[in-house]
Amino acid sequence: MKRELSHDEAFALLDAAAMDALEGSERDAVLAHAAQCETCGPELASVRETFAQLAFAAPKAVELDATAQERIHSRLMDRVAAGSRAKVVSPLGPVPSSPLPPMPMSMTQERRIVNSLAWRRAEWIAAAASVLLVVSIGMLAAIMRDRETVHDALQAELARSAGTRTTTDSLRTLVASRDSMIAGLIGRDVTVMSLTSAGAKAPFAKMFWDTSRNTWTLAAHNLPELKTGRTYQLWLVTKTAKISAGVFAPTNGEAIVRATYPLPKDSLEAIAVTEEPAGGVPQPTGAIIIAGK
Amino acid sequence: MQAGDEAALSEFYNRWFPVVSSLISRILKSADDVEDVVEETFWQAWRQANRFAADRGSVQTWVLTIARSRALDRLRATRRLREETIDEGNATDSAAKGVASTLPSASDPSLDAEHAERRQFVVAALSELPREQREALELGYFGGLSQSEIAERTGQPLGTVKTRMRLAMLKLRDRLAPLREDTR
Repeated sequence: MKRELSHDEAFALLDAAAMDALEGSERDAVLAHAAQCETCGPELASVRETFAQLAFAAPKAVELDATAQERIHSRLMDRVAAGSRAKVVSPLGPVPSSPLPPMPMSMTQERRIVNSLAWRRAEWIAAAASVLLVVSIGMLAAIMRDRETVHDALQAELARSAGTRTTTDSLRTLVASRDSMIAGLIGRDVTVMSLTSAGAKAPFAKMFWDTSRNTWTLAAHNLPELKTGRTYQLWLVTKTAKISAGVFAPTNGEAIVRATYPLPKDSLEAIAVTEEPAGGVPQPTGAIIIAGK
Repeated sequence: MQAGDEAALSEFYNRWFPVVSSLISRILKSADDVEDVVEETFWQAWRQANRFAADRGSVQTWVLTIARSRALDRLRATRRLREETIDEGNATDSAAKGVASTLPSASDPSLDAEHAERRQFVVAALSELPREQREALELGYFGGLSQSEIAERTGQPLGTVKTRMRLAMLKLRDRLAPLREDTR
């Protein structure tokens, strides 16, 4: 419950409020007073304007050169495009009934380059691309819907508890994660590849490679459940190396895997998922579950 | 931008990127974090453009407030991830970064003319403040510390910190008034 502040009390806290250095009920009370006080309202706005100008005292961001500026701009416009397309994709049809699996967390950590070239690719078989596309569009729609749900939760949380930063930070991170994933799926520089298998249960996947952001998003389906002590491992295969893009475990046969790894456009030979011992291996040893290019 | 014009977003981005990126870089250490938060700032500005009301403040204050908030969110999240409190590692680095790097180099030839002019003006105004007032402002603005945390860090009574910030703010407001008129 908000405690009402006297004018003098509120006025004394305006500097801190303008710097967003108050928390919880105190912040609410100051803002509530300022909203209806003819002195404090304009004063708060004025202090905010003054403090904002301190930003100009910051030295130039040396780590962000013109290339970085362009890269960020490109990503930003991809997200804008993704937001626009979300309105187009959603009406296409019902999304898969299977729940969206949790996002794996370990994909950018393991990037081991291995050198063996003796990996067979004879079992890699092409499948019906149209079927894969339908499923992946469905998954994309689910991601977008999920993103909107998280975003709505963030807005509600912001409105409810302006002073509690932990939850809102987490929700912001989730929203950003979904936005980033959507951009990685349908950005203008995204190349889409199909991964298939000859297995009876026919697991399959699509890989979205955003060459401008160096992000890889794998949407896999029908993956067999793993036994204890086993994991799936994603590989980026070039002429000279098999690069581990991380390990993951599916939920109900479904998985969305994200990795970040820079690779020249013409160097990718194939993508594969193998089953390996838990924790992953530096060089593929297990059976190829799905593969393709 | 409020009408959803993507070209307007690009123009807005190019106009505000220099100061937004500088501010975020000043608050965060990691280049990856800086890049992420710059993107998040403009993404939020795009999504919330219809909430901006010119009669409640300038575009400059609006976008810089978003940038600072996002950067401090990331800074706090990073601190939590490391299970750190605000210790010598982060906030003091921020403060030191500010005092050491902000004041001596008011002139930066790589900045565009308008940004450089504003920077020179603000740095000059800051340099006229007593050191303890400047320190309190920088810990609060760039370090994201509350007044209580500033008091604890500097070993000064809370009331003293409040007074220092108020005096500093009043001086800055007068000194920077010409810039505020420009941003209307």
